[in-house]
Formats: sequence, C-alpha cells, structure tokens
Amino acid sequence: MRKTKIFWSVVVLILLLSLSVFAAGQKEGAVEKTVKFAMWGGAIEKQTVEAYLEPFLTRNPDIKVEILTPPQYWDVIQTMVAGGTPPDICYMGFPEFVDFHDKGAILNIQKYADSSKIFDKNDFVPAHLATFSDRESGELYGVPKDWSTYVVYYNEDMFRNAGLQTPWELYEKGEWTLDKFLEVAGILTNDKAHGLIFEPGRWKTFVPYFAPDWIAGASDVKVNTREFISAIDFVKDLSLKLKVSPTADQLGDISAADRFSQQKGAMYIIGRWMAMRYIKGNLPFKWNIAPMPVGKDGRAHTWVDMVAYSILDGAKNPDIAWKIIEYLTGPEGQASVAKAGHAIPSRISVANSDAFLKSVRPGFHNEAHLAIKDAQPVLVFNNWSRVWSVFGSKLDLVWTGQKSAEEACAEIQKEIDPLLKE
Amino acid sequence: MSERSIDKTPVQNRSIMSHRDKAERMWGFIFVGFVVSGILTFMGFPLLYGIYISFFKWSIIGKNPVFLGLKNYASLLNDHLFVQALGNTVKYVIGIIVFCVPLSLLLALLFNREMPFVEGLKIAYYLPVITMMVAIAMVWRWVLSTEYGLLNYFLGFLGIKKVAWLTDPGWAMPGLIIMSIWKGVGFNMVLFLAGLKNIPTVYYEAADIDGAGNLKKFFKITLPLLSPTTFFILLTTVIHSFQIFEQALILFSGGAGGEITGAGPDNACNTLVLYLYNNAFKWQRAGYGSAQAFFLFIILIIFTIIQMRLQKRWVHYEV
Amino acid sequence: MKFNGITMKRIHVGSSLVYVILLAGGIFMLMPFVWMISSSLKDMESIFVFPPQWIPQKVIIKNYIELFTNSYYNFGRYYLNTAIVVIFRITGMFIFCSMAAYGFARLEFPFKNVLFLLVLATLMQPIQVSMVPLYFEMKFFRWVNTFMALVIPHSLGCFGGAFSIFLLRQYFMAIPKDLEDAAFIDGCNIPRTFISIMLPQVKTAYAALAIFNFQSAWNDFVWPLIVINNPKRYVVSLGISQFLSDRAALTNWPLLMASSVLALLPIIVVFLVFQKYFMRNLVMSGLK
Repeated sequence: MRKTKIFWSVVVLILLLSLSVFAAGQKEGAVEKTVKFAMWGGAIEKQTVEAYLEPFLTRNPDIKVEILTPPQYWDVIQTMVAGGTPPDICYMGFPEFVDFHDKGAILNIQKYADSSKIFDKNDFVPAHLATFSDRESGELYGVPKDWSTYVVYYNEDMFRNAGLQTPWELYEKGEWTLDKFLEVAGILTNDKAHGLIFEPGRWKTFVPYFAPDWIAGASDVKVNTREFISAIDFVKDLSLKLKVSPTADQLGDISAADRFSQQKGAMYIIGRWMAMRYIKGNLPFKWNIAPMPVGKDGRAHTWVDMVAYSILDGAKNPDIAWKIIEYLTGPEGQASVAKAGHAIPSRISVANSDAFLKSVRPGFHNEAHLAIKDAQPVLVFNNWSRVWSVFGSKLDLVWTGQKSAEEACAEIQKEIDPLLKE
Repeated sequence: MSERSIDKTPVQNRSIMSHRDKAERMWGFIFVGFVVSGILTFMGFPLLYGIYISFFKWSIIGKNPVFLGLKNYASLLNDHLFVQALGNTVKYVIGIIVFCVPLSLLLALLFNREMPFVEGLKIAYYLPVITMMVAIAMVWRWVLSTEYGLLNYFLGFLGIKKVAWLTDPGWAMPGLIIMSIWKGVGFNMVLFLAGLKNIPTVYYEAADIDGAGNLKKFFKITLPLLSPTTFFILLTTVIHSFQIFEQALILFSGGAGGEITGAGPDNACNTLVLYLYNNAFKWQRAGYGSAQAFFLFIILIIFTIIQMRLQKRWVHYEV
Repeated sequence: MKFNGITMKRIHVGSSLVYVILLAGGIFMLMPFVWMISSSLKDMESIFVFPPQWIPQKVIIKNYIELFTNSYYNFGRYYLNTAIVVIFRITGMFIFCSMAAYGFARLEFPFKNVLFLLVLATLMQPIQVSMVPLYFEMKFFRWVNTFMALVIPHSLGCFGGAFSIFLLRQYFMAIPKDLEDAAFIDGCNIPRTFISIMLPQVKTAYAALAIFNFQSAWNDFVWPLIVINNPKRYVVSLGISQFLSDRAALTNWPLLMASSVLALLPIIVVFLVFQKYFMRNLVMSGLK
C-alpha cells in the first residue's frame, strides 16, 4: 500500500506544481512596460544593439528593453504575430517586408514620423524610405537601420606582386571597366588562386549590367530574354569557361569568404558587411575594397541590402517603440552604427561624416556616396520568395553546367509567370 | 501490437473476473486518461486547427483568410513541386528501409558476441544518434563536398570517381540518405541487438543437434523470432522517415548565396515536410501547407493500419 | 545468454575479421566528431584550411573559455535549464507513460485500439504545421517562457512521447499473465498490482527509456524555439543555435563547434554511465 500512496502523491504533486506555475505565468504577463525588441544575429547582435541603446536608456530610466534574438527568426516572429503577442520592434528585411506589409502585420508609422522632431526624411535616401513605404499611399512602415552594397574586396599584395594596378587605382583613373575587371581576373588566376571569387548564387549582382529592365513591374519579370540569358551566361562563364572564379563545387568545399582570407582569390564580390569579419580576423595581407566595375552602359551597378526597424501591428507599447526607433535612426544612434563601420548608416549626413568614413581606416569607406548613386532601387515583384526559390533551384543546374542558360531561363519563365500573376 | 491486446482476457474464475472486468474498464480509462487527454489537448487541437485552415487561403500573419473549400486539396495534385516532393520522400523512405534497416541488423549480428572493447565500439556507432543536427550538418557539408570531401576520399580508394553529392540533382538524395544512415543506424542497431539477445539459446542448441548451418539458423530461428523487433523498427522508421525535414534543411540551405529553401539542386531533396514548411513559413501559404500536412497524416495512418493488419502474417509474438 | 549457437562457432573463425570491419566502420562513424573537436580548438581563419588539419597547428582553448565567461552565452545556465527540463520530463514520462502503456497492454476497456491508434497518430503529425495553434495554447495556459511548456506535453506522451508508450507496452506484454492473475486472486486491486507487481517487472526498461528521453529532451529544438524566447530560460539547443548567423558567412564556426562539443559532453557521460544497464537491460526483458 505504501508504494501506491507514494505513487499517487507524486502524481498529485506534479499536478499542483503545474497549477502553481499557471499562477506564476499570470504574474509575468502583468509586466507590460517593457518593450520587446526582436532581432537576428544572436548574442553578438544583441551585444551591439545594447551598446547603441545604452545612452538612451540611461536618460530614460523608466523605459525597459527586452531584446529577443530567436534562432530561425522569421518562424518565431510569424508565430508570435499569429499568437497576438508580437514583439514591439523588429528587424525587417527587405523581401519579407513585402509579405508582412501585404498581410497588414506592420504598423503604419507615418503619424509618428510626421510629428517627430528627430526623424528627418530629407536625411535619408528617398529610395530607401520608399522601400519600406506603402507602394500606393507612400506612408511609412519602417525606418531603414543601415544598408549595404556589393563591392569588390581585393588582395592588394596579390595585385602588387603581379605588377598590376589595384581596382581602386583603376577606378580613380576611370579605367575600372567590366573588360578590365575580367582581364585582371584572368591574369591573377593561377594554380594556387583564382583571380576572382564570385558565388554564382549572387547572380543578381550582374544582371543589371546586361538586362537593366528585367523587372518591368510587380507581375512582369522578364527572364526568357536574350539580355537576361547573357547575364546568366556571363556568371556561368566566370567559373566554367574563363575559369577565373571557383566552381559551385569548389565553393562547397571552401566557402567564398574563407577563400579570400586564405589568399585563394585576388578579388571577392560581396556585401560590405564582410569587412567586419576581415577586420576582426586581422588578415595577414593588405586588402581593400573598390566599387563594382563600370559596365558597357557607362555605369557601375550594385545591389543593395537593407534592414529597417518596424513596429508590428498589435504591439503593446508602440509609443515607446517609436521613441527607440527614433533614437536609433537619429544622429546619435546612427553615429554608433557608423563607428561599427561595416554597414552604411542610413542617415546621409552620418554616412558622409568622418565618424563613418574613418571608422575602418582612412580611405576605406569614402566611396559610400558613390554607391548611393549606383545602387539599384530595390525592385519588387509578387510572390517574392516563391519566385526567388524557382530561380535558385533552376539556376543551380546552370552553375554546375548541367543545363544551358537558355533552357533554364525558359523553364523559369514558364514557372514564375503564374506565380507573378497570382 | 500483439493480438493479445485485442482478444479478451482468458476467463478463469467467473465471479472474480466479472468484477474485475468492471474494475478494468474504470482503471483502464484512468490509466490511459492522462496521456489521452494530453494528446487531445496538445496534438488533437492543433490537428483540428490544421484541418480547419486547410480549407482556407490562409497566411500565418494575415488577418483575412479566404474560404477555398477543397481547392487546396485539389491543387495538391496539380502542383508538380508537391508531386516531386512526394516522390522524393518516398525515395528517401525506401532508401532508409532498404539500406539503413538491414545495415543496422547486420551490425547488431556482428556485435552480438563477446569481444574486447566491444562496448566502446558500440558507443562509436551510437554517438551520431545523440548529436544535435545543427552542429553536425556543417561537418557533413564537408564530408560530402566534392573535391576534398571525406566520402569521396574513401570512395577514391575503391576507384570510384568523384561524386558531386551536394550539387548534382541525381546524387543529392543519396547523399542525404547516407547522412541519415550515419545518424540513425546506431539507434536501430541497439534495438535489434536487444531483440537478438532475447532469443533463448535453446533454439540454437536444438538446431545444432539437428546439424543446421548458420544460414539456415538465421532464416529459421533468428529472423522469425526477431520479427516483433523488426516490426517495431519498420513501423517507427517509416513514420519517422516520412517526416524527414531538418537534415535536408540544414544540409542544403545557405549554399553559395542562393535562396534558402533547403530543397537541394533542382529540388532533388525537396521533401514533403520541407515543402509544407516552406509553404507555411516562407511563402505565406499556411492553408496549403496544412492541406499537405493532413495529406501526409492520412498516408501514415493508412500505412500504420495496414501494417498492424499485416503483422499477423509475419510477426511471431509467441516465444 | 551471452552466447548463442551462431556466435560460439564464429568466435574462433571470423572474429578477427568481424572486429576489423566493426573497427573500420566505427572509425568512419567517429570521423566527423574528431573533426568537430579539432575545429573547436582552432580560430576562425584556420578552420577551413586545406588539406584539413586533423590536429590544429596551435591549439586554442579560448573558444571554450569564452563560452563560459562571456555573459551573453551563459552555458552554465543552459545546462541547468536543460537539466531541470530533462529531469521533470523523464519523471513525468515514467509516471504517465508507464500507466498508459500498462493500460494499453493489459487492461480491457472500450475503444482501446482506437485510443492506441490515437497515441501512435501523434508520431505522424509534423510539428511544423502545429507551431501556431500550439503557441495559441501555450499563451492560453500562460506557459510561454515557462518550463511547464517544456515539461507537461512531453510527460503526457506528446511530441514523440508515444514512442516511449509503444516501447513500454511491448515490454508489459512480454510479462507472463500468470503473475498478474495470481495477484488478482490474492485480492490485489489494479493500481496496486500495477505498482507493486508490474512496475518492478519492467524496471529494467527504464534505463533504456531514460536514455532515449534524455537524448530527445537534450536535442529538442523546434519546440523550445516556439515557446521560449527569454534567454534566461534557454535550453542548450537554443543556446547553440545562437552561433548560427543568418548571414552564413558570419557564423563563428569554431565557437559553434566548441559549443556543440560542450552540448555533447553531458549526454556522452550519461550514456557511458547508463549504457551498461541500457544494453543489458534491454536484453533482459526484451522487446516483444
């Protein structure tokens, strides 16, 4: 009998325990003054943002910020939105913004922006604000946090040893053209290193050089055209025909970022954010960045990556959330972004200030404004992520030479047209 | 899943038994009640919710679902990606059943003997089972890489040409299966080993007297007497394999700058759960994703019921 | 018990060959781990060097030091949280799953087979589609960010707990019926028979189940991901995934590898401690 008693008392105990936690949970729910701030990037990002916020929080001791850094960010955010407990502020990426905004999940912050003393829309690149605004009404749904462009990282030692001018020098002379770019990539390719490291998955960087109008509208994306196909062929030929860049298989073995830091490539096309890692890594050679080469149309093209702060619809503390966004995108908050040095502050005045231009090392960032000129406005089309995944799965076969660009583009067009019309 | 659970208890003492029948009823419900109520709450409600939204055009973050009736189900069959995902999943399940299960049985047979350090060796085979996928997938990208990969290195000894496991649509699924075998073979091996050790030695002694060979002993004694274990393993492995998700997602996402769907080259590793996950969380089609989940659920239920019926023909419970 | 007819003969003939095969296979199985450990002792820049260095040129233990000293990671806390979850989950599983398993194996009541199919059906529902409704429920119960969410559903046989019920049921079915009948005739009621007669019979199974459940609780990722977003309540699997950056190029691989090694250590220790019981006891009562 004793055993029976022990058994049942354990059962009862566990049930009681669960009840007691019910109560505990209720208490926790009562604290609503804290602003929940969700971001990706894990502990490192959290550390960074906490440092940004510190002066603000010392001035406003009544405001408390709880930073969430969920792994699998978008899954968790969507679940929280669906459950009616969205974080107040969240990092909003570009393609995701389209979906979130379409579904009405983001708060309209136009009225906050209008009455704000700190927010100044003239200090932002208009295309950036437009990216996070409603396409028809133009009302604001997110404030750009910072942005980044694709640039050419290059190993200065390799250029010097080969007796070549660096991309930067060529750029200053106005000789940094696509042909020159291919020429130096060819010269610098040998059995130890490639002249260029370019991940074919980032093909979008080169499309504007050949088919600047490939996105003609939200439901009109032209893929099965001679121009677009030649862009894809260009990217494919880098690794398969000219062999100046590693193949997709080789990139699977050693990643692009590591190839550059291990001196297995003289140039590397990637976003500015990579600078953060290379600066930290103390690379054992001299390196720098240069703008993308100039195409046949006389312009350089680059791709913009952008992140904004948005307030989610249903946020518990939208007013305080706005205050935080206002601060982070204001002159003071942006100055700390500038100091970090890897992404371009979204405030033009801060991006042009010494705080940013001298952040990494003098001369490193002084092309920030140039990139603004060449940056493509971010283009939108329907069903963004699904269409994008069609591109990914079809083009993968082109990069490995299993399918021709013509074939792949025809298939993509056939598959995405119904998606674009949906 | 013995027939004993279906047949009534043999009655020995009527007066006690009828009283016991009533008691059994009550206690039966109480004993399974906790678990059943938990399951209804935490699995039943989500299932019903899922079925409900499968009739709508529904986005997880959206506010205005549109009623579609059975359209989501109808479009399943016209969706070539779904059909492909179904095919891939079946390929995967067959791959696991054909290679992983016999391999784990073989390992169990080999391990079923006294050898020095044999326990330590067993741990080597069991370690992958207990490792977190997140950490190990990274290592596996390196194992499967074409040029310098460990697997191609070993295959090179056998004179086999380098295989592009991660980029060739024809080889991506075999690559995924190989990784899953590495991850799961130890689990089934342990279960088989337990089953093997549980076969009474008298059977083998009797067979020895009859002068039976090893092969004959294996087919006449080991395999039949192992059938309850085999049944358990086959059933759980199929259910589990049909839901292959994490391995593919981690192995094939974050490639050379492409979009992250984890479906592999030309969708060669797009599995059912991966596809429904992408639909629900990446493409704002939670209703459609739920329809797929329900479809998968029905497949598995039918499969399980068939298995439970069929087991009478080949599973021997009486020892 | 240890030797059956087949093995007795083969010990002399093929034993060394078998041994070589198993050893080679074992080395292949371990290879990724060796690489994991060696990577955890490198720095960012030497991790992807080719040819791969099995033994790092200079051993760096700062990754491990950072995991324990940097207040943003707090591995001690993740261990503690996971331990709490694991202990309660296993206790709950022992109580509720063995009750259910006994019910399904030995008691007669209406709808038994349907209910058992229901239990099995829980293994067939991918959790990915249930994330949203489950989050609703957790919010309703006010279990978001509590250990209750991590303990209760699993204790009640959800999210893979059915595996334990299924396995235990197979064990209960293997116990000779006479034992139970004798107890009934002696006037034992059902709960008492269960606790004092049946449970001791299958106690050997619990070592195995404890390991299975320990491992699944330790490695559980999707469920904590939904219900826990407060770093103070993070379990190890969530802690680890903090090192995976959305921009894959920024992932700190050596730190991730070091944290994976740390995450693996407790489970290896548990496995080593229990494995004697684990392997032997599976054997004693077996799967029927």
